[in-house]
Amino acid sequence: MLSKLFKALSRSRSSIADAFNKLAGKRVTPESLETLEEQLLSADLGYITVESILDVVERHSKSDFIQKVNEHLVNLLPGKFNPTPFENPTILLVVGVNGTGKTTTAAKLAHLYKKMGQTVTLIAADTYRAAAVDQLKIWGNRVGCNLVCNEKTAEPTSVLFDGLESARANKSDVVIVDTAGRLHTYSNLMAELAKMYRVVENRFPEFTLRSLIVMDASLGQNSIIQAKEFGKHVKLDGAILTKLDGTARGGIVFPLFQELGIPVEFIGIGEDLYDLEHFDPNAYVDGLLGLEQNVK
Amino acid sequence: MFGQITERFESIFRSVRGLGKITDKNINDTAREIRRALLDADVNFSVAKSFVKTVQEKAQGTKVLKSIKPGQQFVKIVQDEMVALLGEKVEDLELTSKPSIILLAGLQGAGKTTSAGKLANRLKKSGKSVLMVAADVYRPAAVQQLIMVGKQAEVPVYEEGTGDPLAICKRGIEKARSLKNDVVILDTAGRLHLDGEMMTEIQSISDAVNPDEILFVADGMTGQDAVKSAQAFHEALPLTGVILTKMDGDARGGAAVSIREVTGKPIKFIGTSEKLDGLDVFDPKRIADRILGFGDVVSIVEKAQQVFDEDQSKDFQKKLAKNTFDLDDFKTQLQQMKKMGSMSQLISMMPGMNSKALKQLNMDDRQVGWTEAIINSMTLTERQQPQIINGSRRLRISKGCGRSVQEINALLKQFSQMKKMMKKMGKMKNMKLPGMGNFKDFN
Repeated sequence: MLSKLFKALSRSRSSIADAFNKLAGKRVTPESLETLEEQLLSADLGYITVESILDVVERHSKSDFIQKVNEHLVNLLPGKFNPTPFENPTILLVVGVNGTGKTTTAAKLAHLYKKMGQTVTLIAADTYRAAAVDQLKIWGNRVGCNLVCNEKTAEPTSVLFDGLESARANKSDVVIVDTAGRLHTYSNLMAELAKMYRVVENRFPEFTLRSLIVMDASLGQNSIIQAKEFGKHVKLDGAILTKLDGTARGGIVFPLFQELGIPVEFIGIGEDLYDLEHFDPNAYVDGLLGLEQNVK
Repeated sequence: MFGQITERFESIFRSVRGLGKITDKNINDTAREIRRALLDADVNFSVAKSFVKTVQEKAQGTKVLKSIKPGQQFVKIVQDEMVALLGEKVEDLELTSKPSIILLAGLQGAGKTTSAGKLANRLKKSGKSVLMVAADVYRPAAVQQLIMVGKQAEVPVYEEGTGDPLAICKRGIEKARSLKNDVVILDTAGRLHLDGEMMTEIQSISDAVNPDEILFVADGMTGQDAVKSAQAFHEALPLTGVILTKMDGDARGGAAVSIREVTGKPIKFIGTSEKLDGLDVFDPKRIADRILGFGDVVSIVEKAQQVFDEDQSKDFQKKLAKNTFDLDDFKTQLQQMKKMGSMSQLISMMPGMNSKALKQLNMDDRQVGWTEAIINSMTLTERQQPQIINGSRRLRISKGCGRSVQEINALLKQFSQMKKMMKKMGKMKNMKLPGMGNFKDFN
């Protein structure tokens, strides 16, 4: 598991590792620092995180700064996430902007919890995008779990309502709700999300509600603004970072946790059902920096 | 659009404009600020670096010129460089053969299928007959999605469900030939630029059908990775242009600048809403101005010209001049403005409208609908002579439209203020945008 993430991140890790190695054992010059800064920036870590890394490097330029940077970065991230079966019936509301991979992620989550032996209901509440429901239906079949949809309505809250009634009836442990992608700049679409949240709180109080925001690793600093806006309308309990199998390294996880306190719980590293891993800060940072010692 | 980067530039420029003279120190300080602003907006670091370097060099050159306002000069340099970076002129599709073939390629979730529908809609409106081909056989229900998009756009879709994408494309083009279509749009699967097999697949499609246009569809919110993916697609395929999607969000600009710089290919369109007509031609000058906080008045005027009924406008101007403007006219104006798009979208194009203060206004597009509802609940006489609306009438109107009496009071007050203002403005000629000055009235 570790090595798959490492492999994914390592595709371009060498450049960061190279920049570090160039610095090692030599006097830190403004030029070498700049090369390092550029490599770090290219991982979408954001200006503030990059500055703080450079600071660590400068302070520890005479000792083993790579290890110090590693520790520094791990400290900036949430702890290791360990999904356990839910004891209380739980709703996972999957939200995010368009095209980040919500539907695929919803299916992967369903697969994960089903494998843990839980009863899973998938709700296709993306009534907006053409064929989104068909897409989730196909996934639902592959996972082999209960799926609720209603193609006759364009009102996601009503689908959610039906879905939760069904989940209540079949005593589901986990209900995964796939919502429509929405840009955070549309206040009406954000209000719709808040409404779904309220319906659960008022009508289905026996369920624990957790919202997970799906973020595309290849998106940049705008992701933070997205999360901030979504967070104004629903309480975001965690994030899922998708498409880490590309060259993007998803450095936004740092500002996401530092500025907004949203921990990354899962990472998506492929198109198959099992391509969902638990977030491990050590493995992530090792992969990011190209440090091999912790990799078996 | 571009809210964040614009904000930064505005504050940078505010400090620069006041400078009496440009010195090495303030050039360097400003350059650092500009770099930071560009990086925060996801402009690729190497692109940002060269941009800042060019600006710095040019600014140092101007230092010796006896310019009256060196700060302004500096602003001009930045503006010119930004336009240059985004690619000077507007570039349209070049569709010469019959049928012309457009191949869409890009990463997963960039918005290829939606863009295919928008493009088809656009071409159809310009009088072309279009066929879309569903060549994404991998993602569940992708074919279904294109069929539905096709239905909305009233454009036929050629599909085989599953199979070999290359063969599907070939047969789709054959079909278009037999139907005598003008344009064929090939919607391919999203693919990672690292996926050798999938990249070979799209190369083989491109080689076999020799498209007129190969458009790279990219998410406008992409971060530093934009450079790597764009580069990979650029190396694999003879791209002719770029469609930048999801540009109706905020705080972006980085991807536009980076992709253009790396591929050297023009950005031809930007996606600006989830609706079928949400595809605009990319105009580098306007976008540069928007990024830099100079507003985009040209776009507003053009949009207005598209939707404003000329007769109605003339009629309206006459009324303005005579000051016989009533609530019914006000409603008509509101309706026409609604056709131009959402209030928040319009506001974002206004010069200087990106500052924090305006963000806090929190434009609610429903407000326009509510105002309309209030007016609809008035009798004709009330609309013509709002002064007769007394307490009991207000109560009745409030019941009729479901809005509070306070809101009705506010509207009436705004209207009377507006009339006063109009009285003054009625004397001015060539009012291009009637009612445009009253944005804050909808708050």
